[in-house]
Amino acid sequence: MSFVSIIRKRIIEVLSIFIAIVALGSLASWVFDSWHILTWGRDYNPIAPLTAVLFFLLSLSTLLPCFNQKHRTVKIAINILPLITLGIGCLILIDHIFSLNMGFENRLIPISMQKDSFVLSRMSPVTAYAFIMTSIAAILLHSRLHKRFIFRQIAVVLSILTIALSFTILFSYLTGLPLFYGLLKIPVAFITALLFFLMNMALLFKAEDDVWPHSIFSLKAGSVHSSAYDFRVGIITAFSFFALAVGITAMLYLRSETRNFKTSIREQLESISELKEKQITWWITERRNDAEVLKTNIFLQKEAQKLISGTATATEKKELQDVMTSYILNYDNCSYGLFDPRGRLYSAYPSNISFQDITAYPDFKRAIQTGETVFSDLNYDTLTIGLKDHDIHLRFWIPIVSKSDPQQTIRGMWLIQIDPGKFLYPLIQSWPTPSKSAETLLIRLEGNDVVYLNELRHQKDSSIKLRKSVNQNPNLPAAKATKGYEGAFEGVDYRGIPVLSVIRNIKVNDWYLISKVDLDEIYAPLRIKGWQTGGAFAFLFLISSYIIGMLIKRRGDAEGLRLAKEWKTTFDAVNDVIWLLDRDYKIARANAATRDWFSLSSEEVVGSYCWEIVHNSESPHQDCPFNLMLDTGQRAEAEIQLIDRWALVTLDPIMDSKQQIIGVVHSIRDITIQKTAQAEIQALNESLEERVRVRTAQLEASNKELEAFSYSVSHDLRAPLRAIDGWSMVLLEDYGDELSVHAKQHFERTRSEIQKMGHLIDTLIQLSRVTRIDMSMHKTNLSQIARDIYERLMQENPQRNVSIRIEPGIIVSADSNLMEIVLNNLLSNAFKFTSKLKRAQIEFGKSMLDKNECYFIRDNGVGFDMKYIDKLFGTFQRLHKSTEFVGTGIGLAMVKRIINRHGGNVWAESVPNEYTVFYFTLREE
Amino acid sequence: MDDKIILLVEDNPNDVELTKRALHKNKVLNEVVVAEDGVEALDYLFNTGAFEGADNKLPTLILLDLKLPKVDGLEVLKEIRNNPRTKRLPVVILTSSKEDQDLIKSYDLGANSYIRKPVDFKQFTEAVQHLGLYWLVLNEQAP
Repeated sequence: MSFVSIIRKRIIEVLSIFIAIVALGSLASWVFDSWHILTWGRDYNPIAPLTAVLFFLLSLSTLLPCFNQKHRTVKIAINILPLITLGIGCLILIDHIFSLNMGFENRLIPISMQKDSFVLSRMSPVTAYAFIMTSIAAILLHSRLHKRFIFRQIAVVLSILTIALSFTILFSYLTGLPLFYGLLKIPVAFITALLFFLMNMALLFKAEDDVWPHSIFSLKAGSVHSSAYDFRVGIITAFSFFALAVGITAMLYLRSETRNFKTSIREQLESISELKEKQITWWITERRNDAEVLKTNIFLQKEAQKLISGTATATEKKELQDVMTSYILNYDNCSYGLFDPRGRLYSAYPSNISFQDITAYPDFKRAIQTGETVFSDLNYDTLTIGLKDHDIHLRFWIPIVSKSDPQQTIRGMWLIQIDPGKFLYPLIQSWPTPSKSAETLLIRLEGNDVVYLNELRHQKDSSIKLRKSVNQNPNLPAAKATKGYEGAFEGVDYRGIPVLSVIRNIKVNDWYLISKVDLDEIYAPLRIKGWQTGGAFAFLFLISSYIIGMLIKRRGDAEGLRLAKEWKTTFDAVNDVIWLLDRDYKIARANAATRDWFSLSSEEVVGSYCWEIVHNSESPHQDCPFNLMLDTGQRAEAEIQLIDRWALVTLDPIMDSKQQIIGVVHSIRDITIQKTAQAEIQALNESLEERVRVRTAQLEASNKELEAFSYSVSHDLRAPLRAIDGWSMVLLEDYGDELSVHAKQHFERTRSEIQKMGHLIDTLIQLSRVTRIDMSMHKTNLSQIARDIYERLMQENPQRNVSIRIEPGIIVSADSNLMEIVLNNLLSNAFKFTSKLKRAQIEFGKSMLDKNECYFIRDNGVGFDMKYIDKLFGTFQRLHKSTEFVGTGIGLAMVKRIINRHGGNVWAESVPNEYTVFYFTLREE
Repeated sequence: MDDKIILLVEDNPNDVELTKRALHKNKVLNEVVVAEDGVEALDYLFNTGAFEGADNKLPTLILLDLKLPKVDGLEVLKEIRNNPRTKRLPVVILTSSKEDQDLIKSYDLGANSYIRKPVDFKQFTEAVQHLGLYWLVLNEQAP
């Protein structure tokens, strides 16, 4: 396993383990009811329990193969687990899309959590969608399907899309803008997005190198260490930094835009609120003043009293009605009634209306009791009969008291009803700028409930009727207002939708004014800006990656062309045919020599099998080393005879890291010349053997001749000598008396020479014999032989004083008879040439010469002059006079022949009268 | 002792004379029959050829040279040993050769003794003396 694949495996392990731990931790946090531990961002969106379970299953499917890929259970698990997550993801998505509300999430994981109107424990449809994509990618990469390239590529594309999705959500959280997740009814949690990001990263690491975009980084055969690869890595790294920088810039830009925009919206809300507050306050004050005017107007009081007491004339009655009508019409009071203290109606406008029993109304009673004007806040009731669509009123109960009456007796009661729909509601509902969601609310607190006073923009028939509990909705701006908060507040409105609100207290009437805009509306232009920025960024990214891709491709093409050219020039220079076979053993490249051999151009042979070209056959040739190479996975070669020449075919397999054959180098070398030479050598060898036989026969013949010659010599040369000696002897014996002493001496000398010649002949015969006889090699103890010879010589020359030193145990492999002749000659010589000394010293021993043993015989005799050394071993060559030292001049010649026959060498050193050494070596066995 | 015959097979007249002289000097006075080549020696022994019809007495000792004209000494020795009449005759090889092969072959063919003729006539005389004494006097013939 290569270094890179180990690193990848480690990364997958670490990512999977991290995901599994976070998933389990999230589940635990749900079980212990502390889900907020694993949340991020202002909105506190936790990972749903089912999401955590699915992540755990997916992480197992990537983690298990890291430890054991072969185990059967693992194999089943990695196929089944993503299928489970895929199934659940599909069910949830279908549930959301068709709003089926099957609720099987809660059945699977019985944990539920609600915050405001969100169900926090539910899985987001986007999460379900991401699970579907991730699961499909995991199935494609883990199952057998991954063997097909197209499935691997689909898986990687799905993973990249999911990474983009999760990155967008992460980006949204990190910038503090709920731009994207905020759109969703059930938002995707930060942790969920993070886990999707990591999970799909792990899947990308799992995918093989041949898929895009991995293939950009992967190495192709031949481009290892090439500059194209460095270039690619360099430019992609630079591009990544560039993209990161642009991304961060975009994020910062969006962030500051958001802040600015929010500030301006808030300021707008505040100024609108302030204006409205002033207007409302003014309007309320005006109405109170009106009521006061009504109470203090003497004319009206008097006329009213007259009317109630029945003393008013028809004209007076008409005048009062006109005044009141103009009062009603001038100010936005909608109706009035004039009652006596017992609640009987005397006058009303519009004249067709009537009232229910007003004495039951507590405010009426209060006005009667206190004699003061009582103000009834906006309320919904059916007191007034006959007023169309006007059941909500602000009321002033104005008691009629005579100024002059010291008792201050209540004579009657004005009921002025103000229709908020005429001025107040339009004022509240009006908005100076066009907005889809902006509205102003008027609320008041009743007990623990917030009562919405005006008709709401987003909810019909809501005024007065809509109530919300303060305690149950702490994020409600209205609830916040009732607690005395004033100013900007981000909360969730009555619909459960996040809003930006500005709260003001209308002190004159214990009302609260809330101006609010949906956050979504605030973010809408930002979202557009976000999409624009993102789009521009994506566009830039795509364009620049396309350009970079083109650059890389062009660079790669150039590199490929350069390599191809290099290949071509290199291998075209070779006289051998060189083919590169691909994975299917078809020729992928061929050099120029192909034409010389097969009369086909390099291009023509590409795509064919080698045997089609070489042997014109459908399958590999029987002598072809192809099958051998396939079997052994090693170089195979064979000599193949073609029609007109001999070829040495060599096949070298090209292995990948898994020892699979991914190609073959097929070379053919012309070995016709070698083959011809080889045949010639063989023929020569045969004729040589014949010649040797002839020569041997000739040699044998001449050997025989020589033998015959020696035989003749030994017989025929000796016979006359013997005769001469014999007859000389006869002469001496028969006529010795008649011969003088001198004559006898001459005869003796003659006979002595005859003996010498006989000896000479014997020696010659011996010399010829040592070259002829067959040697029989045995272990020979030279020390013992030397000892025997010495003893014999001492016996023959008892008068001599010779001290000898013989190194014991010199054992060699040699012919013992011949070695005896050698030692005999050398020792005899040593004896002979020391004969004039009183103390002769002779030594036989062994020493080392260039790692070979060499033997020597040393004496302290007369020696010889080194300038005659080359004559020393010649036949009949003597360096001393016969009168001084007798000898035949054959001995050393014989020694040399014997040593040479033993594969050794003999040589000598001497300093006259000091020492003489004869060295000899023998062939090492 | 007088009736004992020595057959000397020798082609060199010098050697014949010197051998005879040596024998004589050593008081070996037996008749010496000389055959100058192998054929003659065999003819004498087997009464063939020139000796056809003759009734030659078998020699007590045969002194046989190896290098002979016509039929060589070894051949003669072989014939002698092959013939029942002569196979037990003592045959002494008297020759100049000291070749191992000659020695081995002679003994293989049944030579009783092998003497190399020394160049020194004194030594030769001594050898002949020993021969005569041994083979003619001391040695008991086969019946």
